[in-house]
Amino acid sequence: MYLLLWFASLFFVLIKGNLFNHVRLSLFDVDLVIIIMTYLLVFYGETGSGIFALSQGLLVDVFSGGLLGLFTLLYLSVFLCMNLGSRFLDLRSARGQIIIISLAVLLKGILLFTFLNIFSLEIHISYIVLWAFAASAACSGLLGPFVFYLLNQLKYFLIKDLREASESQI
Amino acid sequence: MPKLKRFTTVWIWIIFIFLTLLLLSSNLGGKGSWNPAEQIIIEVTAPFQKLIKGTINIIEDIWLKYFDLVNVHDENARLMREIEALRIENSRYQETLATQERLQKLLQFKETINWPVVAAQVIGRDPTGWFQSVIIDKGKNSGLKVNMPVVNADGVVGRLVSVSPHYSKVLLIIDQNSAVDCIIQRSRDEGIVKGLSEKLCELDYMLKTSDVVVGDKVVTSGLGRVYPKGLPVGEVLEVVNIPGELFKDIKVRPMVDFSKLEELLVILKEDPLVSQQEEKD
Repeated sequence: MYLLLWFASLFFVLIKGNLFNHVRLSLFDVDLVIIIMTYLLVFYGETGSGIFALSQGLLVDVFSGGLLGLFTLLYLSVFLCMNLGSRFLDLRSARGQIIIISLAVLLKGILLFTFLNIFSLEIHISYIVLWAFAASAACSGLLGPFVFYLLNQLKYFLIKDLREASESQI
Repeated sequence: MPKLKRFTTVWIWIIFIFLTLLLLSSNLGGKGSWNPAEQIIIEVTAPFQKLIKGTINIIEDIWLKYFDLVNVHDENARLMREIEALRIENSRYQETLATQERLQKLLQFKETINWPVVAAQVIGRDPTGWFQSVIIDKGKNSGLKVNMPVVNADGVVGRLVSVSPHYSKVLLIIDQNSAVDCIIQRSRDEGIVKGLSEKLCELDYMLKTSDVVVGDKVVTSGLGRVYPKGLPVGEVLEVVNIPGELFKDIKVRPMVDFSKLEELLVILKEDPLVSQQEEKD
């Protein structure tokens, strides 16, 4: 399941650029990576989620035209904040998931803006970008519980199949 | 009694034959049309004939159509499949035609460049939305190196920033961290084109004394080590003289439509600094 999620996220990162180019919504960033990261944090613990954050950040860096390491740092920072937030929120409830994912996406935007300024990368920020941050955070948050439900269903079917296979072998 | 009956029968037959002969004789004169008696008969019987014929036609119609309908569904499905196949084929032909036209334009452009080039295909775009770069399907194995210029039939696209054996990353000129040394084609005034957005660049360091007007063509100057001289970059869209500023505020519309990048040409022009660095390594 962990590998499956890893590849799902890889697939999302690879098609994201082309997809957003088609729909012309480059800054509207519904972040499936953060949703999966939250899912892993809930069901696979800190280590699994941390490794996922690091690897996905590296992957984005490789395919992006920005500074190498920028998105790795970004996703790791988001993971750490999410980990901290998980102590105050119940991530198994839909409400907790919506709040933590929305905050994480919003934090990602703020951190990105901060890092871009720290590393002197010239990026013009307009009101549209701020609206895009807010819309991305809200949409990602609302999408979170739905993705959690789908992944839980998938996990249930996978476990069921494995159990049936092992029983038939016995 | 039997005698009387036979007598009556004979007379009936005689009357019938007489009438028949009378009818025959009345038609021998060559009269084409029906006589009144015939007309009456026709008028009375024809509606029945019409009704019967109509009924037969309806029955025939229903019968035949029923048999047709049995096959119509299958035939419809077959025709739909045929239409779908033809549509796909048509779309493939259109795509081939469009590709051919693009490649022809690219080939014509290639003739104008005095450097060897390698054609490449765009396979991916920047996943972040914050930077403007694309991944192409050619790398070190095709002779590509960092800082080689990339163009298409319309003009300058960008430069290579990362290279692997089979793939490369191109930083587009519309990226805000990209800078291209350019000149105004008409007046030969120099400046640096920097990216602003997907459809807009700015021309920096253009002195207020320089001669730039809207519609001027912007081409590469050949001074920045990366791009050969004279490649089209964009067209001046807006020129503003801001009081108190040293340079003009100039907006440039790129020649290339960056939302539709497909086939690109990498000019095999090495950056001397990169070559020196590689030799040191």
